[in-house]
Amino acid sequence: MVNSGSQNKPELNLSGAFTWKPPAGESGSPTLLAGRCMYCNETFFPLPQVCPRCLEALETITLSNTGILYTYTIVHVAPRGFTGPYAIGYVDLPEGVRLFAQLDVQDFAVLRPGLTMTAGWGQIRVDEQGQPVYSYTFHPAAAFEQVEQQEVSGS
Amino acid sequence: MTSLRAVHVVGAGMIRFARYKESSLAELGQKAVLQCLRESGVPRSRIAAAYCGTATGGMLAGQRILRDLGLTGIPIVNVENACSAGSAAFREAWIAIAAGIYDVALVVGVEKLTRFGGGTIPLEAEDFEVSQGMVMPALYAMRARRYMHEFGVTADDLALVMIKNRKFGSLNPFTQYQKEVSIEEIRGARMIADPFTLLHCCPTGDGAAAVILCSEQVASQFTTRSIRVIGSHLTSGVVISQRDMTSPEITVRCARELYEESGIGPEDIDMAEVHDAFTIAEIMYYEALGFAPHGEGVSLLKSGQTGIGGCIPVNPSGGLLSKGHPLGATGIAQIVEAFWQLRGEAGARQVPGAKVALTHTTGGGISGLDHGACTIHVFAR
Repeated sequence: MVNSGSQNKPELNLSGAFTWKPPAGESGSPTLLAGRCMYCNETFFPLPQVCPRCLEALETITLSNTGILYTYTIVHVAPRGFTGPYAIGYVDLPEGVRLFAQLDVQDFAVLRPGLTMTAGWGQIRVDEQGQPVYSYTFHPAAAFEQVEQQEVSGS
Repeated sequence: MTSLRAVHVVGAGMIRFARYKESSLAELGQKAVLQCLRESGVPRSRIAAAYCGTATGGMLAGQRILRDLGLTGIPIVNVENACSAGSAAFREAWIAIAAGIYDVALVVGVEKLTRFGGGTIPLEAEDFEVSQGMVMPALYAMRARRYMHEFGVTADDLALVMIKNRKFGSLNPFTQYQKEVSIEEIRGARMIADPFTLLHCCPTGDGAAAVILCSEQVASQFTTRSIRVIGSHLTSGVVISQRDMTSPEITVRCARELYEESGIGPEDIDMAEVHDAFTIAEIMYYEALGFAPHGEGVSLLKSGQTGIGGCIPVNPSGGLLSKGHPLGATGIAQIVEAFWQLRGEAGARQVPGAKVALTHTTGGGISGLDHGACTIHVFAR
């Protein structure tokens, strides 16, 4: 399970650019950053060094904090550094990106594809030295914020 | 493309896949190569090059295997492509012979997963999703969850893949698990990544398999019953925004490109060995390979056509679900199965009259891709 954490440094992705920033103040909402190609307009998360389509430079944009759960699972056989069972899934954001995230949820039974999810912040694992590592997470949005999802029929 | 020579497989051997905690990777590889040499009768002096497919076998795996068999001193290439390592190594040998560089080559696939102890296979730590908690069973479990959501299938429907493949596996002395399983056992096994219990997943184990390929011109020097490579294709995954996870894009594309290149169609295939690392995988690969339309894989399975006596048996060896998945060995073991099946040597699990066999593996998980690699071969008697 994800524990809500306190202040800690933003995670650096491989190219050294911040891909997300921890919540400022009491909001509990992290800032999610993606790269948008100025040439083809496609958006990528986490930030690559250049646009994979065009090799052009990317501008950093801030993503919405709310999206739709595309799919999920609950992992019972946790790898090193993680404590099972924990839930993970993919959240689709309106900017056209799909984020992989740990899901912060008390009762796994509420999870279903189509659920509206909101970004939060929490400990996701411990590192090789046993120190906690924090990241963005997603949790189910409040009931009144759930978007009516049409049943997806087979294509 | 300039004219390529026809390539045949003239020898095959494998060890039973199992946990071999006390054996080194080199020993496992040696046993498979010795089987292959003895069964085929190909003299070592004729082998011009060797290829070794392994994902975790470490540096110079091929040389460590072949040194004590007196088979070094020739070009040896070690190929890594995650779970597709063995198949990709086979393709490299095929390319070299087809291009006329060598006449005869040996390919060995090997893996020793028991070196990791228990648990899931450790993935690349610098991969973004891995650092957030991704493991391979979870990736497939998420595909299954989405597929179940879109097409209304249940975990019990997916379990039918394991039941079918263990039935085949019970007829194959080379599988790790040789007992059939029931739906109750599958439901009751411990949970790995929801909705997958342990019995929706291929077991962890070790293994090795080897084949010898040669140009068509020299094949008859070794056997009158060689099998011919009539199709070979390899590709890598691409980034697609908000990709449809119910359709495995790398296999769809690899199969389409192979079919276009070779003129073969899914209707020409008599049997297939596909990458059933988890139950959902086989369902999705029926569709991706063109045996069933998208969303109808479970119907095909329930029809019995992919089982014993069906018109398109899939994984008559028992598949990864019965054999386990020693990564680099898997692709070569599939080719060994195709070799035996097309020669009528598959014993109790023989597909009657099989003339054309397809083998398929997909490699690994890295963020943003369906898989890293996909290799498909087609063989004909």
